Amino acid sequence: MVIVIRNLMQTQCCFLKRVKLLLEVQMMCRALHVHRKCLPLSGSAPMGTSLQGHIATKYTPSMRLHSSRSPDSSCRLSFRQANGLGHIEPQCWRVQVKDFSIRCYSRGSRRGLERKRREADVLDVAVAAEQVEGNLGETEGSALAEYADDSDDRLSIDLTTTSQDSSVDLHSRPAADLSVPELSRRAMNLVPFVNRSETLQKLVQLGVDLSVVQQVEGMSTLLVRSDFERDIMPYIRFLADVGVPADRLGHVLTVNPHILTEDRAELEQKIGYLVHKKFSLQEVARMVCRAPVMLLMSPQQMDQKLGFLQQTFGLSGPEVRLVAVKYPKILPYKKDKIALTRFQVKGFLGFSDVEMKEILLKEPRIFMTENRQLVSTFDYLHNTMLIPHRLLLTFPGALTHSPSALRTRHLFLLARHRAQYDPCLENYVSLKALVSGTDDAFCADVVKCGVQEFYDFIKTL
Amino acid sequence: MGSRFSWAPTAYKMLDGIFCIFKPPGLPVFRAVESIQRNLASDLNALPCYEYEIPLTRSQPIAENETETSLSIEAEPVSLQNWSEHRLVLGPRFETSDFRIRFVDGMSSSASGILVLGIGRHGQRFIDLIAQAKYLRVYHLKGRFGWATDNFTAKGRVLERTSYKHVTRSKLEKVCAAVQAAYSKQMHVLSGVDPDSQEAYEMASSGIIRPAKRHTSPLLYGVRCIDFQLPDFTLEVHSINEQGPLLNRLIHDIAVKLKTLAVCSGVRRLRYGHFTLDRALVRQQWHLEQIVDNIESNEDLLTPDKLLVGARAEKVKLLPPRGKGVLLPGPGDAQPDSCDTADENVSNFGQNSDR
Amino acid sequence: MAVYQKCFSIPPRFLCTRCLSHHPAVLTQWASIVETQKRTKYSQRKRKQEERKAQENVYVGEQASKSRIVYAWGLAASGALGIASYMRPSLKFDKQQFAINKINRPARVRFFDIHKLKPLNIACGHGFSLIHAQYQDKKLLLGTGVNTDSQLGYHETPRGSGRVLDQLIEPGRLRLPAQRPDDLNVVSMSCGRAHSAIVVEDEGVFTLGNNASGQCGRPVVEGEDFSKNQTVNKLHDLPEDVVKVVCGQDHTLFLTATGQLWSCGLGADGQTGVGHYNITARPQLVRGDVEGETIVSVSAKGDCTLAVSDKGDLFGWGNSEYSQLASITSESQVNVPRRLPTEICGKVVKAVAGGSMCALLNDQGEVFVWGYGILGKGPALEVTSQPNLIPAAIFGRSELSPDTRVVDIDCGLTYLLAQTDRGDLYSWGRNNQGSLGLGQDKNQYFPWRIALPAETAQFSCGPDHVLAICRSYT
Repeated sequence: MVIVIRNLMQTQCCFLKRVKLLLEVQMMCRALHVHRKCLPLSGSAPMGTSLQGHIATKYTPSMRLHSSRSPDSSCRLSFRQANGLGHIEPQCWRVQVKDFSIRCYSRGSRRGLERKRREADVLDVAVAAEQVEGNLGETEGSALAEYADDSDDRLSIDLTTTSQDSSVDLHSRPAADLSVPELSRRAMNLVPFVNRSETLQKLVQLGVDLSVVQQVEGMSTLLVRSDFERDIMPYIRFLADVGVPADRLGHVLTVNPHILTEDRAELEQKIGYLVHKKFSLQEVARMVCRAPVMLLMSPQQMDQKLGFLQQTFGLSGPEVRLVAVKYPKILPYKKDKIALTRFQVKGFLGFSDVEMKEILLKEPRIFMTENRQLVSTFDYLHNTMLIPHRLLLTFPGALTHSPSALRTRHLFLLARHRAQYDPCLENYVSLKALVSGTDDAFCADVVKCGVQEFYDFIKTL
Repeated sequence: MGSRFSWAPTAYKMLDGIFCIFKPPGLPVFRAVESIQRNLASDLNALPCYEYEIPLTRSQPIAENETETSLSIEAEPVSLQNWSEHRLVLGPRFETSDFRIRFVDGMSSSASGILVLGIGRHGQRFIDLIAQAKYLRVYHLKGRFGWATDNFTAKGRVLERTSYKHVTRSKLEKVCAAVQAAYSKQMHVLSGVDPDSQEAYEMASSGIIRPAKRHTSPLLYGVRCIDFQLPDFTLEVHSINEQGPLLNRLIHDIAVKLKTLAVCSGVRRLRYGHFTLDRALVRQQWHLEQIVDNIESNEDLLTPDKLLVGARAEKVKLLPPRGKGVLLPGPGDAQPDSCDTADENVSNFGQNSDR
Repeated sequence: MAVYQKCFSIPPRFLCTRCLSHHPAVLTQWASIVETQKRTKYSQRKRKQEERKAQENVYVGEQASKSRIVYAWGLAASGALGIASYMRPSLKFDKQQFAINKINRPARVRFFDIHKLKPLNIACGHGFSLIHAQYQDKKLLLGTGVNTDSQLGYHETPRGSGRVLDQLIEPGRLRLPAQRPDDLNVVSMSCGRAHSAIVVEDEGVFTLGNNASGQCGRPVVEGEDFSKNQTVNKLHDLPEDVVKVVCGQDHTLFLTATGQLWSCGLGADGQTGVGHYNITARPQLVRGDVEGETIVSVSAKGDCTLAVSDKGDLFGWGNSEYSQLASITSESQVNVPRRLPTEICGKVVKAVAGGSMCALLNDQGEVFVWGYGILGKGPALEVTSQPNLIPAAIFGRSELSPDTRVVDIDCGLTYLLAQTDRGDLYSWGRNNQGSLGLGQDKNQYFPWRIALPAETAQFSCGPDHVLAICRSYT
């Protein structure tokens, strides 16, 4: 396998740190009974230094495979298993090699476990590959080839190859010759599988971001295991039926890959529920596009959420639909948090129930923002800029912006004597104009000057 | 929007040098650095990063109306031979930790002003040299009479209130002069020169004396009152090696001499040596193109005659400029004898340049 | 509070509508008492804070004028500083405290603060000082220091006991036989080695102290005992309009309003400038190059005298052993005033002559030095006969304050002091008993600022001590 340590030899940290780092690597290699070759200790190493060695059974760290090419040249460590030694137990150690810091997590460490959860589950992949191939058995005696650079492979993919030639020196055996089971025992992500698996290729063509999907637990197993036509196409058809446009399919699957594990009938039921609740199909499509996680909610949950919104804010039926369609992410959002934000808005910000309903209908996002920022933004708007509640209601989106951005624009308007937020008087600057738009647009339309003057003003604050 | 870069790694290589930003008040320096790193990562990832994203047939850069995503879909399986090097498989090419940024002499989160940052290998090297140069910094300190707080700033816990109507501008200016003169003695002490020698006299005749070592106690070279509207006032302070708490305290001490009290309501750094505010990038400009432009425009400030200030400059022979890779020997060995080895260093840089 | 925090993890804080403070909303069984206490304490704290904010302390009124402070440094053993506790520590401290012989940094003379005296003028001599001060609405003359030659007058305490003081360690009142002895309007005063001269407005010049060389302006009496002597001489041989008096070591110079110079006293080096090297017992008009010129300033601390005319010309006479007058003559004494070439210096405003060094100040605020000794241009320059400029950067002129200039200079025998327009004092020269005031005992080869916590208004140098009247900033 190939482990890439980014910029190991070109670290900008001091010499001592570099040495310490390399010593760590050495110690680890020693623990792994790995022979080091060409491991420089000082100075700048030539590119492409590689470490080769054996891995023992005792400490068998699994290295996070990150075979992407780093922007700068990097050093690669490659490990291979010698004859007669066991396979890697991924749960014993987990060594994360990334950005020239090597951190070793023991089994019990919380961080290690978290990382383990987030990254591809190796064993599952291996097992899955085994099941696919049907036969593997013990590979104690087999020597696995060194994991060569993928980009050098231009050979055809043969998933059924099961060459386990132990007698051949596998130092330079290209990865393409390896069978999937052999490969799967060492792979930490889906990169080596992409060239061989049509499913994955078709998913990439669709626009699914495999680098994101593979981090979801169990997903990489599923994807490697599944056949595109048999397993995935039905869901794609389902989504197409719902109305998700073709260029958004990839996005939906990326954000919510669990859709592929859902029961088809249940999915249909959920859509049916929504249609029953008088959502039009276009609206449903829009909701699915904007908040794909919604499809994981059972109809009961969806019902509860919509009912909660209706009761808490006193919405009518069409209004609930409006809110759900306008900002569908509010549906999977936790009830408690919405309730808490509502309490904040009512108690601290001082909006009445009627006003809150109006805010919800205009900008549901407010009830999902961070409380502290909400309060501080409101404080600045109301107490410093002296904008009354009724004006805030006209454009509640102002509350989602950070107070610092508001401050610069407001002070600039003050300096130009244009800070006039009362619609009854002349030279009125609406909240929307103040808050939205790029700096160019703001300067040109509202203040009528160049952007450079705005930036010069910011530098005087 | 069209970018003038068509290949991300090329743009990444251009991120090598010194640039300066205007840090807004209320933002800690490390968050500013993180923000820049995030912006750079997202800007670079928006450019073509993988080989397939630039079609092999065309040689000119991408036109304005074509985004890279559309291009990637264009350059579909027909031309794509290696699936494992796809953005959707490997993920974004750049992440925030790829951008190593260092800064010289940070400031507290409530202060604002110019912050000099170095990115990339050469940039970080220059940061060391800039720190060695011990540039003079110019601050505008805003104060308000009549209050005393526990941390000398306007946001602290109020301890006392006093009258301030008796304070006039001339009184304030006299006190500022006294403060300035008090620090002038410190200048001589920290310069490390024997006070009984002729060299000390010559240094005193020249005016501003820089300390010999990098980390010394703060030195104020000038304190002036530039604005006076009771109860607010603004001081201009020229200093070396100062920190935020000292500047806050300065306001308080000056007020005590005037038999009143004051808090510091704002600190703004206008200059850091040759780097002035007009070169600084505001928050809206912390993006790839502006930073690359800023790096280029700052190159003329990184010549040896600008970096070696003070009495030591005359003692070092200056090398003729030879392009970007020119660097004098590293910190600590600025001696005339090392000029010969400096040539070797220059050539070494040529060999070790990035691919 | 600590107990509470240890027992429970801190629940989220809300704004409580009752006490308007942020504290946990949840009140558990354990926490109820503690919580109530905390709330009470917090509200108490809050109330106290509001009270503190509401109260405004006034440290100085709007019409307050700047107070005058006297600072002194140098030899304290003579008593010339006026700080009694340096010589008799028991006056100030109950515990054993050592007497201070000399003090090499500025010390505040609290006598004037305690007795609410407003100092108006000062003069320093050899081990004694004169101070002209105002008490309420009356002006009085005070003297402190060595009184072996009755240079400070006759002080008998207790009155009528016969115990006459040879030394005053605190300022004592001088009584002059003026028309209004309780309200002396002193125009000018000066102290020499063992004599002092005072010019009282509308009355004339009074001299007291040693007269062995006729420096008091009266005929020399053979074998006169000057200690415990009550003689105070009022000079009649002078014109009515004497405005300034300057005492050298053993000679005295008088300057009239019309610019005439009169002198009396020892002339062994020709410092009287009357054309001979003998004693001058009665004041005589100084002729030579000075005749016909309007002199505005004259100075003599040692045996060399320098005078400045209103046109900015410099005249010198007296001792020239140290190249003070070497620009015009190679002789070591000059007994007639001669004009010194000072074209490079521009228009001279003031000139001072010490024991071996001379300095002048021009109208641009620049200082020129010549003579022998530590002149102020580093250890390299030891003797020169031409005036050399001391760079303005040394006195604080830089690109940040480009218009700093020197406004006054004075000297002791071995050192010099300069005052800038910002109220800073710079001193340099040979450190005699800490008289440089820099907090150290070693010599200073170029001007160095004295750390005075106030701005200087005027100052006077003696051979081994300095007094300065300063003003506070508010």
